Amino acid sequence: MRKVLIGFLILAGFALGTIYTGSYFEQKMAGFIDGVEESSEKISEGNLNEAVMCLESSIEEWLELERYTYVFIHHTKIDAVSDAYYDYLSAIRTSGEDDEAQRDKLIYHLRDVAAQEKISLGSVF
Amino acid sequence: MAIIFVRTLIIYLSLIILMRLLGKRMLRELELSELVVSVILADLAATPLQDTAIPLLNGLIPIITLFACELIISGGILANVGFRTLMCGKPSFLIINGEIQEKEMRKSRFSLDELLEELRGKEILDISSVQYAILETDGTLNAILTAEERPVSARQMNAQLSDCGYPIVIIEDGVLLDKNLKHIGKDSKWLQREINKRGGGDKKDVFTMIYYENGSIYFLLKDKKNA
Repeated sequence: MRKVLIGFLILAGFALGTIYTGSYFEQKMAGFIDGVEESSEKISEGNLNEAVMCLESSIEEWLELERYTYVFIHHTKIDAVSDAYYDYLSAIRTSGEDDEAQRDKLIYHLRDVAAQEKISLGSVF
Repeated sequence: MAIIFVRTLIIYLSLIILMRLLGKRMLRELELSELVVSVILADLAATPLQDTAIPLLNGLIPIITLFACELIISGGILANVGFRTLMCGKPSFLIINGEIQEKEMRKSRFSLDELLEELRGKEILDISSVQYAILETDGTLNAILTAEERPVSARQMNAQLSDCGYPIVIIEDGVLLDKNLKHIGKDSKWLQREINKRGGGDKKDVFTMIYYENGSIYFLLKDKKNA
């Protein structure tokens, strides 16, 4: 019976671990999306430098998190977010205006990372 | 992580149900849950190794999850007869007192040709000489001959047979197994004497030396057929 108990404990541990990881990623990605939206608002207010600084700090935070995300999430998904971040930053710097398409792409990729760890009928099947 | 975990559970349970429905003939030697694990494990372990973009954890989580499932299932099988029957099924009697049980044959999806083939493999040609042919839960077919067809045992013959006893390996590929030497109550001096007696100089030259409980020794030097 001890082995059965160990089996149940492993499954319970994984179940709790997945719930925690899911909510952690959801929370983190929501934070990143807020950062991107804040940056977009700053552009519309005419504060380009502040928008760039805001986005750069968001990128730094994302790159720090990469060490953790690489353990759990398909690496191509992570690379897609990093690329989208730099594409958006580059578009802002080049044009001096907000690039809605690049911003939406970045937000889409961030939401996709959060969805990776969220259990839903679609994600499971 | 969550998706892989849930998917592994779903695939595992699906395979268990499917293999159970397919019947014990699909199993061959392995119990149901063991077979399911063995089928999935190799592929699961290989996937993250083949594609480095996939986190290694995606391979480890399913493997550990399967291990946990196997612990629970095998524990449940040992502890509960009903659960054992549910997971492994029951043995099927394909022949009783020399008569083929058609209903059981159909239920087990065992053809007459296959039954005869299995019996031939056990050197049984006459079905009427079989008291029971049992298709076990692991898919193997065991046949028990009628009392008059069974081989006579030494006890029935009142014969006195010599028994060499249990073999204990003393030297394996030039390596002395100290524990086994102590177990038989001998020392290194005795060992060296026995090696010298058989034309060997050093224990490193000995491929194998096996001591039997009746005192006899099987001895083989490396690259020589010297028993």
